[in-house]
Amino acid sequence: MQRFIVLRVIQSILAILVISMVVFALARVTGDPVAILLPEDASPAVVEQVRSKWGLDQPIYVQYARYIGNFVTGDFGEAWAYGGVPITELIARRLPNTIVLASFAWVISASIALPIGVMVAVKKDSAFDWAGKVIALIGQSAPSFAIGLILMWVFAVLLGWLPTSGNDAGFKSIILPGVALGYYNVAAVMRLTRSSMLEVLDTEYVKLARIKGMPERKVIWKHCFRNALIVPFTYMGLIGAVLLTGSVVIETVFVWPGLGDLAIDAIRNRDFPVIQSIVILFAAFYIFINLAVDVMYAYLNPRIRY
Amino acid sequence: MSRGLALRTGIVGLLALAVTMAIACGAPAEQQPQTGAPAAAQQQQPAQPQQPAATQAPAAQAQAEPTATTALAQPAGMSDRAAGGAAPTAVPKPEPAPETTAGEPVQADLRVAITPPYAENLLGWRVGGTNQGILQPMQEALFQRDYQTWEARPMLAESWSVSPDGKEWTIKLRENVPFHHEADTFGVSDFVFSFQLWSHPEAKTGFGDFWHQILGPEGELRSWEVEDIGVAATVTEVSDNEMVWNMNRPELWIPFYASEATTDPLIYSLDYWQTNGEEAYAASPVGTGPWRHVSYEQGAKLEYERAFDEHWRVNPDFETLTFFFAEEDLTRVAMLRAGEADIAEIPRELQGEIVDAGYAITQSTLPAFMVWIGIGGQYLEDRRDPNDPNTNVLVRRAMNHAMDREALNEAFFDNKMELMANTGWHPTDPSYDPAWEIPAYDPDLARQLLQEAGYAEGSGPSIEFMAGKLVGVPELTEIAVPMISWLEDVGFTVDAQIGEFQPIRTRYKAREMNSVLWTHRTGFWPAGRNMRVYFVSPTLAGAVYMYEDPHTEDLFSKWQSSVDEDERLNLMKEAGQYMYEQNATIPLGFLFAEFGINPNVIAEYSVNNSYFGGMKGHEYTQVVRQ
Repeated sequence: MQRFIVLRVIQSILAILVISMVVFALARVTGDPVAILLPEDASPAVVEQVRSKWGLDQPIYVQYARYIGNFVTGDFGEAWAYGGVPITELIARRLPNTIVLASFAWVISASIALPIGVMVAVKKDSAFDWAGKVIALIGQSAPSFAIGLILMWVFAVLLGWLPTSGNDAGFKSIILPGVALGYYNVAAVMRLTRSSMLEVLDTEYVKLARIKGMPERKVIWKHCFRNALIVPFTYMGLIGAVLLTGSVVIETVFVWPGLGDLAIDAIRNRDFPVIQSIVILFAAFYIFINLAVDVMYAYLNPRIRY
Repeated sequence: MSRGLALRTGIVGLLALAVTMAIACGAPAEQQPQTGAPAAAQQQQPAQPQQPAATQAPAAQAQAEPTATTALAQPAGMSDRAAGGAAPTAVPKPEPAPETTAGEPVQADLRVAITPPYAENLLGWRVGGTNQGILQPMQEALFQRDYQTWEARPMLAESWSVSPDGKEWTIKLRENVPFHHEADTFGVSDFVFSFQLWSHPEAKTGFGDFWHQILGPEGELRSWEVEDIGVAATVTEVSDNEMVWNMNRPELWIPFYASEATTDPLIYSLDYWQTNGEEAYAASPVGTGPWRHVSYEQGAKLEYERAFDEHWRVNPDFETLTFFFAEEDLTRVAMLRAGEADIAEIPRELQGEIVDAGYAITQSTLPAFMVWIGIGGQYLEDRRDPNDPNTNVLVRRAMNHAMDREALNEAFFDNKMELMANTGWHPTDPSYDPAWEIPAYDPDLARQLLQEAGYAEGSGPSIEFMAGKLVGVPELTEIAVPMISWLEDVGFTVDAQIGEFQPIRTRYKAREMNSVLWTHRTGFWPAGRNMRVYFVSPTLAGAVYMYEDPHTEDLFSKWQSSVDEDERLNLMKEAGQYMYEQNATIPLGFLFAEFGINPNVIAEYSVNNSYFGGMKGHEYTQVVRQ
């Protein structure tokens, strides 16, 4: 087990390193940030001065080595487009908002998907099952920004129950972006719960429990649900990372000042250090959560051996 | 049994979610912002997209009244006299703040939803012109513009005069104007300090290069040693409120360049900076404006409140002003319709929906944008490429006659674009010639011109067409599609590259635009400024290098060094005429700034002429009173 963990950690570090190289190179392919960030009539002397200050006059491998060297020491550099604010400060300001939104979306996903998943499994091939399939289909096929805009229109503009955007109305502010972000995953979790439940419902020990006259509620929740949870649970661990990193569009639509919104701004401004930092951070989230899920899965399921 | 339980489970789950939402929502109607415009208001505000419901309120703008020397009857436009340069002694008197009308305001807060500035930072000199609009409620400049006539008006400069050689500006500053921290009043040292910031090597202000150009006789103003802050060789302090600003070359347009219209020259407090440092200034900036900074959440909003009981210029009708930064067009529409914003930037294609819902669209008094197609490769001064078809005037004429401007206007701009005859020159500019004609759509003539240029029918020149989006005119990429097809229709072979603007900028900055056409837009500026930025070479500190011709270079150079008003006017006219004859560009038109407003809250909103329209001038916005 320890060997497995060490190997997975090494793989994770290598993956992050490769991602950092790719994002570093791709960001530079998109063009010269100086042309965007300096005013149109900036003189060539000023352009050169800024280019030199930001190290853009150096070969790309020198830029990368310098960047990654600073990055591992926790120095993400300065945000060019934000007047030289340290990127760690920018991220520290925005990250809590993203975590709050992703966590709420996760809760939304779980609280909708698990009960419906159980219900449609228990009522297989009924109208409920079909309704569940429709919910799943909509969730998987509709882009989250479209869902977000529809929710905004209905609950904020037509009904006036919730704010359209921003994060200054307390809990109310998070409901629409949270639901829009979380709904996409409802379908997958619900379908996984359904199939997992169906499998468990068909096992011998469940039949035995029923024959013995155990109350149906106890059969479903104590014996079936807990055993069926392992697959959706694993998946929900993974979607935690998806929600953290996938909030870019939703944050923009709902003016939620998180890392995703910052990433869009940084891309618009060609602020390479900010783009790189956010992408590497997102990648690290994803890889770390995958790693954690793998390890926990191994502990939770004694039949699994590495 | 199992079905019943499963059903109950599902219902309980859904109910739990519904209860959570209901608790979160609280009492719906009373506590919520207004949703949409009530029926009565809708009746009062019929759909009139072309007729702003909120009047464009020059009268409400308590701009100081100029004396006879600056208030001579002028055509609207940027003459030297209107710029203030020809006025030997302008001694304007400030008007009192407008009297508020009777009745209680319907609300104390003014909320404005705009697209986020490129880079949000509260130190304007560090982030450049586009971003400084959001700071203008708080910070003032020496001069302001009259957005009806484009004339120079006093702001923090009370009066001014220029020496006959155009190199010395004597400026009397307004006295007893406090900064928001109220420990200091505005004086010469604050101006000098601010000028040091605008012209600092790390400054990203839009006119930074201009400030570098005029640095005074001893040059090195940009010292950043602590002991030199607030001291500059280029400014002679006559008293705490009077100074002589020395230039190293004649410059008659100081009241334009140092005005709030250009967004760069905002005044900072030296005292506050020295006491608190740059970081504190960035976190909680101060100025002399009618609004005081309250809070700022990057990427979300910026809040101001009324700063003084009696501001020297105007007392805002609203107690607070909040900018919400919403990237998504539909989010801003929703904010307006949900009553969360009172003024919102609404793209043209969504304006009809807003008007149908009872809201009003208001329009700037003068155009906000100039839109045109640059014809690249005209480096005629030093890098002329005879193989580049763009260097042939017949080809350029053919391009101009291939374009159906009226169809573009109707299809993409709802006929709101004012078509343009000569790029850079608006009819209000004194150097504009009314004889200039908008190139007619005539594909046959275009084909004939190509044949005259030596191209066989159907095998015209090969060119690239680049189009990229820019703030304020998102249609720049969309209009490229029909224009490319029109060019192909008359015989051009076009390699289309439609996407972002950034690659375009990278190429024109490198002067690598041979055989390229590209969409471009700028703000509404006088012809002289357009010449300087777009139509001169690096030698004359141009920036875009769209047209470099020895003849226009010579004219511009003479114009820049002349102090004779008539001579300057004639030089600019001649430059315009030459560029018109040469078909130097493909002119398209001027667009106005437009905003959606809630007429239940906003009684009067004056959108100024710049593309910062949504950010500036809200101290003059009037609230509806009951």
